[in-house]
Amino acid sequence: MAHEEHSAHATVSLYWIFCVILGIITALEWAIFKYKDPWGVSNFALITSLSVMSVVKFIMVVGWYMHLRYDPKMIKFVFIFSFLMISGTAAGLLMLMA
Amino acid sequence: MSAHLETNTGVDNRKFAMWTLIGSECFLFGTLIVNYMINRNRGLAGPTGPEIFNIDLTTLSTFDLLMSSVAMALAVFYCKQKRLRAMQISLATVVIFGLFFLGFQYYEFNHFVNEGLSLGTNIFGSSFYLLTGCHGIHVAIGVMIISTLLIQSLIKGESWFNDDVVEICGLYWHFVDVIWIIIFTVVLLLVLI
Repeated sequence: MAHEEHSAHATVSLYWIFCVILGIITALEWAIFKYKDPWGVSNFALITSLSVMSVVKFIMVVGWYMHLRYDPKMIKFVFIFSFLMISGTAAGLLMLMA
Repeated sequence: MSAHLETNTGVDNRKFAMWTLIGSECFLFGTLIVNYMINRNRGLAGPTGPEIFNIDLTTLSTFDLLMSSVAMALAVFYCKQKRLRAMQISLATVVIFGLFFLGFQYYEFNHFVNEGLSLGTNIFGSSFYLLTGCHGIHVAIGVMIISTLLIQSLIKGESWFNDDVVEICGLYWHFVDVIWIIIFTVVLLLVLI
């Protein structure tokens, strides 16, 4: 079987846009954590916002910088399966040990 | 330039091997993170995380590693475009950012030891150093790999455009960054709340 080529590629401008977004998200994470008391951020809002921002950064790096978005299904399966397996194991262990 | 080889999976074997390695590394870091989460409050002596963590410095090192990922993505892009100088500058930027990250980590570890938290102080220290140290070793290996690519491209010049190898090494570097994104949020921020 021939090597599967990417159907589409990210561009330099997209990399720079993502760079700015990643920088802003990291600064936001820091600011929300640092000023949670003066800003009156509840623990629930803090945990939710930090988790969401972390997931966004994760998806941006894995999907675009690692090109997983453009890769064949087989590669997507290897990574996503491994990640889901360890996430489930981790959740199980944490619930067990809590 | 390396030619794409025919494979029965339709995927370059080296790239597939790297993704398999990344999949197995997910398990390694996943277990180390869980180990830390379980043991972080079980230390009987010595300082705890909230007492010694410096979020300002950790945020700076996170930003540093994210910017290195941008430079690595640009290096892969320029390699495919056959733009040698731009690729070399991008690879050098990755190496510099990687070395800065290791410098931050050395400073942080040194500070923690001075505050009384060493590898053997308590189980929190052991699990923390095991996790962040293992990540640091991965960053150091990544810096060595990217440096090797940079040196090869400097020596061989225009005759060296190994875009598959640069992409595969880039995958490793981005993965190291992804792991730090998780460590930063789960290990350093959420546990301090």
